[in-house]
Amino acid sequence: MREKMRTIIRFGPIERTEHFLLLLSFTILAITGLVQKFPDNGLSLWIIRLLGGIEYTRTIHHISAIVLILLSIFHVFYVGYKIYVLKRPLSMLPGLKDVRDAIGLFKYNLGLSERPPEMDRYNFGEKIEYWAVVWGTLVMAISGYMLWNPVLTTRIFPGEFIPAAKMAHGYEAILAVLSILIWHAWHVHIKHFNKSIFTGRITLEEMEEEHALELKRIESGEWPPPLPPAQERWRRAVRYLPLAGLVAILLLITTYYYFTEQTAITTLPPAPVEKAYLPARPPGLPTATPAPEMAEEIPKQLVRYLPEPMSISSHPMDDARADCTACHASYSYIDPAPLDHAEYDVTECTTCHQPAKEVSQR
Amino acid sequence: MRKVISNPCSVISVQGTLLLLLIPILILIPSIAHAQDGPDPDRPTNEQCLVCHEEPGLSMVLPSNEVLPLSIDPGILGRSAHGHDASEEVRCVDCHNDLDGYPHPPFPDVDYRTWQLKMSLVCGNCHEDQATDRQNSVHARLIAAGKFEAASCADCHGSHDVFWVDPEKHQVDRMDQVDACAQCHRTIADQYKLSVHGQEALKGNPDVPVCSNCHPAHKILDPRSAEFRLKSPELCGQCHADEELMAKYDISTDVFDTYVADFHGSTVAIFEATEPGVYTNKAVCSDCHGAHRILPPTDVNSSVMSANLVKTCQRCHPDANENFTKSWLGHYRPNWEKYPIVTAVQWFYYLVIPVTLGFFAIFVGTDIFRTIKNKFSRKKQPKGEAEDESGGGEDHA
Repeated sequence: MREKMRTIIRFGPIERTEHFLLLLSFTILAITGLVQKFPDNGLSLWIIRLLGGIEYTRTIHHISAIVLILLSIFHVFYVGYKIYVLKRPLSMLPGLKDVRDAIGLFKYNLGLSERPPEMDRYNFGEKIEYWAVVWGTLVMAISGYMLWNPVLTTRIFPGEFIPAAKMAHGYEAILAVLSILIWHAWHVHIKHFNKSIFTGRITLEEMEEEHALELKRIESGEWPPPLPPAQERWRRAVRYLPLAGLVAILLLITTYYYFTEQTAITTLPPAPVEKAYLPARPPGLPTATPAPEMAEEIPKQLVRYLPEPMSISSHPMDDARADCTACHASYSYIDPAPLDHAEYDVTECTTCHQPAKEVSQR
Repeated sequence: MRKVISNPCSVISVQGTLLLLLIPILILIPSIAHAQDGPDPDRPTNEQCLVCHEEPGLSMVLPSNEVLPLSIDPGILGRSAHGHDASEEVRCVDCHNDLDGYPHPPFPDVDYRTWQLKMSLVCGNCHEDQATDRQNSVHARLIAAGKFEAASCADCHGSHDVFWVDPEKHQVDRMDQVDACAQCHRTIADQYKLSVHGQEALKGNPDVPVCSNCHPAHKILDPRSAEFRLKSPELCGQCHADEELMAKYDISTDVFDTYVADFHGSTVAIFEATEPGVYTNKAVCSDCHGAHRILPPTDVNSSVMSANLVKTCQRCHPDANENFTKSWLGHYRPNWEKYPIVTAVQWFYYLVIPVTLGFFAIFVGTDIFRTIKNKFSRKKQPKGEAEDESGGGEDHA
């Protein structure tokens, strides 16, 4: 028993940090994202309020997205370094053995076989999870970029890509979160709490259960495979690092483009062109019909409000419309001239009534 | 220095003599009325007032040099909502409660508009609810802020000719109401009359909105306010989410749901729920469709007609191009004919999500089964049962 409680190192500090950042950014992304996917849910609104409103929620989502993307870029180069420079084996690649292990464990679970399969450094469950994260991050990063920068995206792709990206982003999120809740939570939290990704160490008992093959190989001295000699490593690093650095810079520039688009105006959309207040007659006129003979004097005496002359906004000014009074006589239905305009000459109309800006530009 | 002219007779030249002749009669009238009238003998009847005020051309000049007409057409008064029924007749002095017999008290030193606004306060004596509702309206706020040209009761309803407003009880032309607003909002009313709603309203169609359907009378909000902006999609939804009503015109009721489901709509909905006082630049219905001159999307002048769409999008998305406009699904739900890419993505996940999660669930299910079974079988071994029972779960942790 004491022997079984002995631990061995499973994850180094870099892997542990990577996992921690992934855990952090994923959780924040999931929370700030799902509340946007289900905006009419009471809990969503409560969270949005807690985060200080939807605009802040989106900013938090964007920042976490950038953290996850930078982490992903780092991960690609770190894995490349491990494979090329340190010549580590591709232990995460799925193979036929994983299918056999899955079937074997399934049979064992159902009681159809006596013993569970012996699994290697990464068992099939862990590989499923790893590649699910790779797929999910790719889908989310690409569709997320499209949603964040729709104007840039539609310069190249058809507009339909934006709603398609929104669809993918939302459903992939649900898939990812539920996968984590079912697959990840069961295997490393509920079945038993596997702390090795935080502590870096794993007990031999856990190894026996989940990575029996790896344990055997460690015991036989077969694993881990020896590092290449220092000279060889140095030679490879000199080749790898500049190239990786260059690609990394390119990827970082791409990431920077996540922020560059000014998708929409930051102010309110422009107000309608109609002028809200433009009385047909000065307010304060009696609302009961005055006696006929008074109709002529009243407006003259009551002119206290001088509204700005109405600009000509509904049609261009051209020869066909030279005679304003043809349509806008004081008795006309269409924007009639006020009564006190009766003595003005037709040629004088444009002295006060200028064509509106948007018309003259036409 | 304004001189208070208390007696209208002193300034009216033509009618002056006539009025002077009437004065003895006026003084006699109260005693006559006393004998004739039933319920409240002290209050002058309308007939008594009309003895003088029926006379055409009667007027007085206010201290502000404005002419205040004093003639009342009994016909107009009789047809008005207040005067239609002799038994429920509203008397002149019910509103003009500062007047009480003749000679009238001196006219206060105010201009015409101030007087009119002051008179509008008496409406609330009977129409209490409306007066309360009105207190928060944009017009009342503007008046309070010193913009006296903003509408008060009589500006919309008329004063002596106050007209019927309830279409259920009386024959009311809905366009009268548009005309009432048009007194001040002329350009907007003209735009409205050109809209698909206005055109139908002019034909007498009772289904389309007139001004007050979106800007409820009395409670009328400032349409520039954040509150109104965030609520505005619901205003449109009142009709456009009504299946029965929309079926008549073959308009899809999806328009509201698809708006709320998309980025603009869900953001606006979130703002309304969490930050109702904050402006959002996310588009509401009127930003694309226009507020007053709403045209059907098939109209060449419509801002949402496909050829005009890029211009409409550019109002908020200045760098948008033709492609960009297609990113809005035009209020359609994804379908294979119109939007194959979106629908393909949708179906991809309709398949992948259940298959993946189903696989996970089945596998985890069997794993749970085995784990529990193993635990039981371990317990059956002779080693201390109680010990294992308590520590069983944490065994591995």
